[in-house]
This record gives sequence, C-alpha cells and structure tokens, in this order.
Amino acid sequence: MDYVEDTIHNTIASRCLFSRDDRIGVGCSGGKDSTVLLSVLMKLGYNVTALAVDEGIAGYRDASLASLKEYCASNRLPLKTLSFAEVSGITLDAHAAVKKPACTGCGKMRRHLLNRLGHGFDAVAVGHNLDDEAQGILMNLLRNQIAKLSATGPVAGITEVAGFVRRVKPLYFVTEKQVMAYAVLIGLPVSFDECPYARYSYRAQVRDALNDLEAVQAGAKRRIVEWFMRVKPKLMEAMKKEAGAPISADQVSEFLRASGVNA
Amino acid sequence: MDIYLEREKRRVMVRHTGTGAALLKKLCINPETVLIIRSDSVVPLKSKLSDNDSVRIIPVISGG
Repeated sequence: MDYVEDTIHNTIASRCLFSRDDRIGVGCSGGKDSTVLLSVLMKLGYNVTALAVDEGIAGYRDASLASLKEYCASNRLPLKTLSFAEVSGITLDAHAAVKKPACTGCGKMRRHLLNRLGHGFDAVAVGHNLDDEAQGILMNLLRNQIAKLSATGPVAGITEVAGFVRRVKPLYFVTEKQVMAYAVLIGLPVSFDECPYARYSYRAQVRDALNDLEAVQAGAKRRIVEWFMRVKPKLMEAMKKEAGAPISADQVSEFLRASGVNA
Repeated sequence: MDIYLEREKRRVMVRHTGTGAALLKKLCINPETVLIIRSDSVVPLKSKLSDNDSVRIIPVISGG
C-alpha cells in the first residue's frame, strides 16, 4: 500500500503535476484505476472533484457509474458527469452498431468531454497506469505515430493550448497489478468487468502481447516506459512543429459522421 | 483446493500444494493478468498454498 501511495506522491512531486493549492478534476469511470487514484489523492490531501463521462454502454458503464456515485456520496466528494448522448445525441452503443472497433472514436470523445468537464480546474488527473502507458508507447511505435508518441507521458500534450486543461497521470509508474492489489487491500468497491468493446481493440492485442512478454521477461513493461522517458525530451523537441491539433470540438462532428449521422 | 474464478464466475476444485505461481501454471493463467486472493489478502506468487486453502483468482485487467 505504501509503495503505491509513495509512487503516486513522488510522480506528482517530481513531474510537477499539481500542488495542494490546485483544484484537481479526476477523470473517473468507477473502475479500479480511477477509483484508486481518487482515493489516494483524497488521502494525500488534494482538493479533488470526480469527473465522469458516460459513453452510453448498456450493462457496463451504467453499473460502474452507479458504483462511482455511491463512492462519491459516501466520501462527500463532488461529482460532475457528462454523457455522449448529451453532447452528440447518440450513445456509444449506437455508434458501435455502425462503426467497429468503436475504441478510436470513443477515446477521442472521452478526452473531449473530459476536457469540457475539466474547465475551471487547474488540472485533470486520469487513471492511466504503467501498463496503459507501455501499451500506448508500443502502439504508437508499431504504427510509426511519432508525433502521437511524443505527446504522451505523465503530462499529456506537447505544448499548452488555450481551452485545454492540463491532463496529468499520477499512476504513470504504478503497474495495473499494483493498482488492483491496492484496491483489494483497502476494500474499494471495484468492478472486475471489462468494456465489451475493448476486447476487439488494437490496444487489447498489444496488451495481451505485452503480458505474454512480461511473463517471460519480467520488467519488460517498466523498461519500455523508462526507455520512453529517456527519449521523450528529444522527441518532443523534434515533433513540436509537426504535432497535429489537439482534441477539439470537431471531435463531436467526427464521432457523428463515423456513426452514420450527418453532422 | 477450492478456487473461485472471478472473471468466469465459476468455482473449480484442484489438487494443489505449492506456490501461487505453480497454481497459475497448472491453470494455464498468465500471472501478469490476475491476482490470487486468500481471506481478502493478496497472495504473492512465491507464497505457498496448501490443498486446504480457498482462494479467489481475480482479473487485473478491467475497464477499458
């Protein structure tokens, strides 16, 4: 338990993610990563508000958000929510009926809505753990997406852009297994369910391959992240001029077009 | 040993005395993807389990 809390504390301090004077929005889904993040930040004395995006995944997100609402109520934590349906008029289920895999469109919309929810906060903290980051690094490498690769890290993005809230990742150096062990040890109400769409994703393929690799090369995921942290400054410098536009309002139109709706 | 597989939501009985890692190998489960839980505590992979133990195997991968 101490290891997870100390690692999060050290990541926040050493990467200057935020301070105790800041108002922090925490991107929450009711899953283990974001609930552990919320719990540890509360314990460490940060000023946190839970921010939740409801994609509209029947039988999955409704259950995890109910669990999140209960957790926030019992800990007297403020919770703000926004749904795909409120913003675009359609749910992810409706989008996925037309567009598979749904993960790319979903990820962009989630980031867009989280950014909207995050207005007024000094930073939005998300529950991406070391496994997520190792997967992301490898995914971008395998697709030769160097600009995207350089934009990842404990602080997302390459440059600060007006209208975009800083997105930070305090769990960056904590493995998925450590997060789950922490959740079990402190008795957090955690769902073991996996998003029904995630299993078809490119990320799931990379995740499974990395887990197979980790089983025979212990520490492989951590070394991928450590390697990336060493080369990131040079990549950022090289890519600053080439980086594409950040997630914007156009994401809603893009999501609708991919869903077969004329935006 | 009484084993409850959380993801599959089913119980299996397996004869096993040995480490947690050996149990997962017997069940063909990648140790990177699960935790072994005994009495609400995480069992380290190198810890020994006995045939009388009752454990839960929970998936580490969730959400998405």
